[in-house]
Amino acid sequence: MVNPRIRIGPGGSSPFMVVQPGANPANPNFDDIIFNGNHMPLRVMQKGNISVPSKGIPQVTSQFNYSWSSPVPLVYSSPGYRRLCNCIWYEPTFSPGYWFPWFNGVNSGGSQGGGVLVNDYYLYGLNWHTTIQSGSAFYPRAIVVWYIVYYNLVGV
Amino acid sequence: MTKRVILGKRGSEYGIWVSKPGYNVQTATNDQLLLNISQAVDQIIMLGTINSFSTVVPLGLSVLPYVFINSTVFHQSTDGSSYLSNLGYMRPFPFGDSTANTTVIVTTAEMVFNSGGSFFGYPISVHYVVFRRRTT
Repeated sequence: MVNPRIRIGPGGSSPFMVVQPGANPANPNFDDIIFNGNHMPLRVMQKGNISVPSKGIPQVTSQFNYSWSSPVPLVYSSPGYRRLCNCIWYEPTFSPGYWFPWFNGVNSGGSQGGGVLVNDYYLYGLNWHTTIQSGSAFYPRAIVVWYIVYYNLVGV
Repeated sequence: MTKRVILGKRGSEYGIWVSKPGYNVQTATNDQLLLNISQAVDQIIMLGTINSFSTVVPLGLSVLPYVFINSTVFHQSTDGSSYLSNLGYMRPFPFGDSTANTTVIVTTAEMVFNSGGSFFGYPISVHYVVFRRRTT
């Protein structure tokens, strides 16, 4: 006897439900759901990576801005849609294999901000900026930013 | 025509599978499947926008969900009107030292968005997405 794990039809908590073995597809617990026909799955719209060049070792104490100059066009661009975006970055020559959330900045301290912006048409690098001492070894190195953008969810 | 959906038996297992375009659902590997019977899909159960603080959003769940938050910034025009800046949705959130942080407390019963955030003095809207993914 195999317990049904898929339910299609009226009644129950969803017209289409896929659940874990042993769960009741008519009214499953939160953790037992594989797919719920009432909820929007997270779908990837586009993903990629962007190389941001090094700023070099500063000759004078100055503020540096990390950003990329060319916005990435979104493959599906339409106003009024909410999108989710996430990003991480790494330094290919300094810390290969180590991935960082953007918000942590680079090894220099005193950094501010950072992130990825998505509007209706483009994905932008948001300035990460910091003041770096002249000759500092902690200059902004070349980084690679990996990003992923999800489709809009439900209409809002 | 490539077979992409199985509702029934695949190998020795019964269930549902959906493959990516161009892949035979009978033989597709895990990374070639859009849906399979054994791995939960990340799904959104609620989303919305907060424009004033503090605000309570009822959840009414039995377990703590994963909540994703980002924000948009409104700029103030010289005539006093506000408009949505071209910054779009910011992530991560909150943003930088110059932003008055908005914090959110999430329980199974509700989300409480505290002290209104700002971006260099501009008001922000906070957008939340609640996933069907427990955090405990």
